[in-house]
Amino acid sequence: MTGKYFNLFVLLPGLILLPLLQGQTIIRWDAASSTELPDWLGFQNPSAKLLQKEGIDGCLEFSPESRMIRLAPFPIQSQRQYRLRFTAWLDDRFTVEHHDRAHIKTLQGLHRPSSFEMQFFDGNKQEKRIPGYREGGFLLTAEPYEYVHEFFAPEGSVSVQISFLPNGIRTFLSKLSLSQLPESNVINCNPDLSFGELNYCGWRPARDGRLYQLPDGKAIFYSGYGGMSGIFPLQEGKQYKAVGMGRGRPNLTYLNAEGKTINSRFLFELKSGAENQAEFTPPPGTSYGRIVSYNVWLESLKIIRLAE
Amino acid sequence: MKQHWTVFLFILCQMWLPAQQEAVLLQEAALTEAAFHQVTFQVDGIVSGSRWLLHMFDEEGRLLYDGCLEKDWQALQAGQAEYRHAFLRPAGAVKLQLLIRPNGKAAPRLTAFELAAVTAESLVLNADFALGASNYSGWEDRYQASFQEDEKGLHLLVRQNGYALTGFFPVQPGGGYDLIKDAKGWPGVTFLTYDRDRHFLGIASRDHRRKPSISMPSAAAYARILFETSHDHIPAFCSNRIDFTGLKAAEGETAAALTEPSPEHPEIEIILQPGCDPREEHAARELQHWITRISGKCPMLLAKPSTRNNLKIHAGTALAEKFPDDRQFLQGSDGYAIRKQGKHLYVFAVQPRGILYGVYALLEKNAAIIWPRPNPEFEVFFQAEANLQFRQTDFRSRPVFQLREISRGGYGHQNKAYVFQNWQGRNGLNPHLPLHTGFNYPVWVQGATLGYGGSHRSWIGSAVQDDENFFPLIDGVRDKSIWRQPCYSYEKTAEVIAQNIRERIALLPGKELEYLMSTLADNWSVCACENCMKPIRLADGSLLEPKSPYAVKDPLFFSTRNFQMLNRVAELLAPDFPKLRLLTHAYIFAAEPPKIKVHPAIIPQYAAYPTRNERFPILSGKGAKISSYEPDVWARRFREWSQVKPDGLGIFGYYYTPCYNALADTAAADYRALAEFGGIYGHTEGFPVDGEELSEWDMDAIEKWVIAKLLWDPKQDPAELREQYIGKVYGEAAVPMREFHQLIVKIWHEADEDFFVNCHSATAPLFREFFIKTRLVPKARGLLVQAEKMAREPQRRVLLQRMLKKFDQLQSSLGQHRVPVVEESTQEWTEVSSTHWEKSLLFKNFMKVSDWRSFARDTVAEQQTQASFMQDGEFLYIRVQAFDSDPSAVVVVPFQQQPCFPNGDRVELLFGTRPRLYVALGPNGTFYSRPELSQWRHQVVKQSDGWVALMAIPFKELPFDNQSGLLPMRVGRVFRLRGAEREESSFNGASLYNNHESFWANLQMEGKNE
Repeated sequence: MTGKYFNLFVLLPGLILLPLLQGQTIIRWDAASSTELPDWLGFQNPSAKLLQKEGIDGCLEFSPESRMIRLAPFPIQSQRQYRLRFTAWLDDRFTVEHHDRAHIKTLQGLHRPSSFEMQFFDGNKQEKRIPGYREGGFLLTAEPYEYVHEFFAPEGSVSVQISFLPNGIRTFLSKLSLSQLPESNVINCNPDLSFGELNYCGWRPARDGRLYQLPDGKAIFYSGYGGMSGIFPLQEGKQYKAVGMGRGRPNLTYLNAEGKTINSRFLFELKSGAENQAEFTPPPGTSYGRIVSYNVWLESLKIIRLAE
Repeated sequence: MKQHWTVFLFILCQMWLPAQQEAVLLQEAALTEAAFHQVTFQVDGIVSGSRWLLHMFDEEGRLLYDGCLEKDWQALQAGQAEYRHAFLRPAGAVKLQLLIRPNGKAAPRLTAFELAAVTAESLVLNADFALGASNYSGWEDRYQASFQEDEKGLHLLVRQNGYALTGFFPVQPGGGYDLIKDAKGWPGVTFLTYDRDRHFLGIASRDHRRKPSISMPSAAAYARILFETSHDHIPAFCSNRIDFTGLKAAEGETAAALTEPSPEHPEIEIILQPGCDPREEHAARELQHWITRISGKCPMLLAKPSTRNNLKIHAGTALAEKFPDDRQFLQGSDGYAIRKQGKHLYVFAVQPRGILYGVYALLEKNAAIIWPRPNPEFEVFFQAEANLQFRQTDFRSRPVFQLREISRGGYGHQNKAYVFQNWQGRNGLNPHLPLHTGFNYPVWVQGATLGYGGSHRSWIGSAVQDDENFFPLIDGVRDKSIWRQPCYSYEKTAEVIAQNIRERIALLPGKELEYLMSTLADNWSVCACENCMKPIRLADGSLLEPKSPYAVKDPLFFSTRNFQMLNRVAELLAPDFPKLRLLTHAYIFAAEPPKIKVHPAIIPQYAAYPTRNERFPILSGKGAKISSYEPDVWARRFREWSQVKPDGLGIFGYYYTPCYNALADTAAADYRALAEFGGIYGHTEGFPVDGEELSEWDMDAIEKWVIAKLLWDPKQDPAELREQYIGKVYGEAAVPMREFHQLIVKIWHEADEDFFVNCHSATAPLFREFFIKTRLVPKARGLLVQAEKMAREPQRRVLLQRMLKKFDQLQSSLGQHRVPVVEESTQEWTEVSSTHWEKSLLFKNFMKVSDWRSFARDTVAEQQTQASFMQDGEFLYIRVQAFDSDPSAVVVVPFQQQPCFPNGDRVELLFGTRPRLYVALGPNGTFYSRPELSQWRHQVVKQSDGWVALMAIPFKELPFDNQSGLLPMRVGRVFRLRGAEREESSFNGASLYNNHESFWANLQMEGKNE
């Protein structure tokens, strides 16, 4: 199944599936130009149906009874960054438009919303994952909203499989795209928090922490007590730089290939309006890193690989 | 033959010199009633090296201690005929004698003499040094300070670590004063106040924004101005130049009337040698003061025994010569001895500080007196005894530990440190006085040692500016933060530290630096440069290989590196300073005993921190809680340290926790073990300020006092010490308070072994474990109530009221709040303004909750809210008043009869943790609950200044905690919904979604589960 998409150059109705070239789009789909269920959905998938309603250009509806809608695997390259975008909405009152506490309750596990998750596979269809870490997010809007998820493909992975979990809620999807990000020396996902307050891209707040959309449209990540970033790859002995803006004192944790902590270090003190930075060299055995923060407000935090 | 001559000369000198040193009376004159006088006299003859003395006597002919002026500057000079000496007449002095102590030959001849009353225009005698560059009239007490002349004129210069005091000058009790124009006012200028017996009252702070800028205490009769240097990292503050000084009384200020003086004590006098160390003088004045307070009669302070047939208490280090056996016993310590011979009672020591401790011991053994707390309001409790008798008068004691201190007392401000030191000194402690901020005279006279301390990195100081090799290599980068360990293997690290220590020692000529510390920075960061990571060759030839570049993974290796470097520092200093002790923390990774010998001069302060359970002594090995540490890590390390450092070890203690405790039992066992290991440094940190605000002192002052006493002698039984405290402090209320403290000791020891307590413990779990789990709240509180009712003595009653208030505060701040039964609530809860709501439990002053904006936890919300709770045994009634500056602008969703989330302005309540009940009401009556309540009632009342939510929730639908019977609760409010105008607030400033247990209020329904 996975191999079927490699080196294809096929145009299906409503679906553009492109060859896997560096920094390019892998898939782009828009219900407005679709008349049939997309190929990647599985042609006989009973949990999804294509709707053409008045006022809507078209969308997929995922049945609330369905436990999980698995999309077909998409090809990816190991240790590269990708961006998944889709426009979705729910038929539910427990959404941010109607319930001011929907966001925080969802983060705290007090509510199970409609959600999505990802699995990575190697060439032998064996799952590849960083222990203790899973990519995914939640859907929490009654109106169409562009959900974005940036992620990092684990070492050895050749495909990613995206799944939607309606959790008993009618879920609608109108657009979907997946693209590989151009190579960059910024190695962590969503470093500028540029996708709004519902798109965490791996950032994981603690206690009362969450992403906030500011009145001026920017987003800010309040970590709460012990909030974290997503995991990003690091190599022992290489030089990196952390550049941050916000308020508080974030730390950097080094992890080994099994996802276990090797060591933690203080990065720098951030004060409003001023950028701060620190250079570091991961110790032996480091495979990944993550930012860990205690009551820190972050406007951005970039991890930059320095030139050799 | 030559030897015979030497012996002859020696004998001659023995016969001749004492005769020559006897002072010769030159002139006698009557003093007037004036405060200040000046003697002017002329002499001829060979005078160089001879000294003049002024002695003043009362009507009975007794030589007053304050009437003896025998200071170093009173020397006759060759070529100078006329001398002047201005002074303050001591109270009661009527006659003055001018004497000369000749320098080996005949006394000079007096050719002229005049005694005249003088005035001090600026209150301070010789305030502008007009009497000349060699005339220190009025400036007798100095260290590292002298008059200097330069192009700007004669001035007083206080050099680094020095001090200069004006003489005593009279002030109006309660009077207001200002410095005269252009007089030195800051920094390094302090106003010391004294009572009519020249007993130190405290520091009068100066606030230049206030008029008058200085207010004297109501008991003040005298003041002195102290000049010192201050923060030594600021070059301009390392010396203090004074061109003149002086005060003027504020116009129109009404001074308080000084209370009547106590009558003279006819049966006791105190004798102190003129010219003694200021600490000895301070000790004698303390003795005089406390005898006066206890007996109501003031013993005279004399320089020579009078002819009266009374008890003569002699105090001073010079007296030790009379008692060679005691002197031998006390040698090398600041212990004391008390001996009585006939009518003469001697308080002596070999160090001036020892006189202080001897005075307090004499008083404690012979009177019902105790100094239980630093708070001036409770600094002493004693039983008045007009016929005070000294019956225990033959004993001696030397402290087990040479250095005894309680650090970080919260009295950070230089001018407040003496308050805490008063308590420490009175209870036998000699903490170090950090010279980085200058010589704090009031702290020093009360027993503090002179000290310097800092991290290794801070000792390196500015040398790092030109050499980055001092910085540690962390993760491949030289980390330049000051909060890091230095590179241990860089050869200059030890050299520069030693050199800077050497320079600091040179700044204390004639005085001993008794406390010196160089220690690691307060974290695990270490250097992993190539040299630091090289294996360390051990004494047996084997190699200690590093296991990791991180100390957290290999404390043994980096502790060994740390002590390798420190050994080098000690080796560099030892030849020149053989008595020097170099203290350092055996802390964080350096808590692990190193694999090398540690230099004898180094005194590691073993810090069993932070994973040790403080409920158990270190050597018990019990109570280990944090799994990544081996269970007996702290006991093992302590034993190993005793082997590495049998010649000097210390404990850096953490005997404090924010709840009731019996920590003195732990401290006693640890200090005893340290004593058996040959330890010389006993310590704990973490006693907070004891002031007007309620503090930990209002819970466990008894433990703090016992710990202080144990630092002198850990063999004492904490239970017996507690009994002393209970008897002396609580007096007529001792019975219930004994039961109260016994209850605390019992619950402390009977809690589960796994129950972990240390200095970082939160109050809530401790209170829950000790009082709520055991259901002892009513009993403990009842004992405090009973004691407070029994207390007749006003000071005692206030103390007990504070203790009761603290208990209640703890209950409420930790979440325990009593919801009263209000019978009328059943009918009246819907009446917003019912007076019955005034009986309810009230939460007011809601505070802002941080969102994308970070607010300090105590930021008061702009839109205020008050939440009230009352009950009738079946329903909990809640009134939340949401004040609103513009009620017309509330954000609401359309009202429905069905539950609907009020997605806008609202009040919110959370009850219970598992399960949890969430309730919200909007200003238009929109209501919502999860899980859905079936029997609650609610309504909303709109008012001109906001809106009010009223609720009645049946007990049976509330998630009470099964174990404690309490109802965990949070209450908050959201004002508006979005944008900058949104304001979320709660009763404690924490988000309702910050689930930490400390943020919950625990409602205790009166009558339920009690």
